[in-house]
Amino acid sequence: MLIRCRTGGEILDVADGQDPHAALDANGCSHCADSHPLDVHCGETANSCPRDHPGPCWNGEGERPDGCAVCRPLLFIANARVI
Amino acid sequence: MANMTDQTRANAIIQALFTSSTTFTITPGTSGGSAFTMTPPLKIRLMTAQGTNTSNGTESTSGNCPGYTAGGVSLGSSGFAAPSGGQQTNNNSASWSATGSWSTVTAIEIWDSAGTPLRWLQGALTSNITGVANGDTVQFAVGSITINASAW
Repeated sequence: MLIRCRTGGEILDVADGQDPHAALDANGCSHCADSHPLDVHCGETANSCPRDHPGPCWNGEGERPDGCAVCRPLLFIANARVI
Repeated sequence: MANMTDQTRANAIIQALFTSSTTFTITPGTSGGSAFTMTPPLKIRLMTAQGTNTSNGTESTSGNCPGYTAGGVSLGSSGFAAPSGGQQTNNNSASWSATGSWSTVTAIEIWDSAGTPLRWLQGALTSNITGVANGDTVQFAVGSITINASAW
């Protein structure tokens, strides 16, 4: 199952049964909920939350600071072959 | 023998059926069977259980897939591109915005827009769609749905 942040960025292939939102989280897909730089995408590290946090938003933090969120909403990229 | 039909003819048939933007009726000659009508635009329906080539699948509903409406969404005028090698892909994208958590979607079906719609195609997703939550988008991009008549 292919997914990515709806706002853009890297496409991830998530195995069946795996929570896609958690998968993105585990891959460093995070951003400031309200204002993250447009160049922060799924699979990358959100290095700055310009509004609320001068430091890392998610990566390297034991606990996610307030104002940061995993990438939601997601875009589910579907494919099918019909006969 | 892998292919029984001249590929040019197969391409012509599927292009007529799935690329036409206007309603048309094919009326066979004597002993050729019943006339049938294709009524564009084609619509894509999501299935929580795949059907077969002889029976419909179980369509998603607004209850188990909030944001989805039974009957599907249009694939637009000329739903599929001109074929090549017995295959053609969708010309336009289709998407839904989830307003709640979805049941797993496993397959799609392609129906026409007749007063009593006809089902024309069915098939499994490459991967099931699971874990859709409120605010997410499910999308079939242009070129993501393949009709395969290469083995005709």
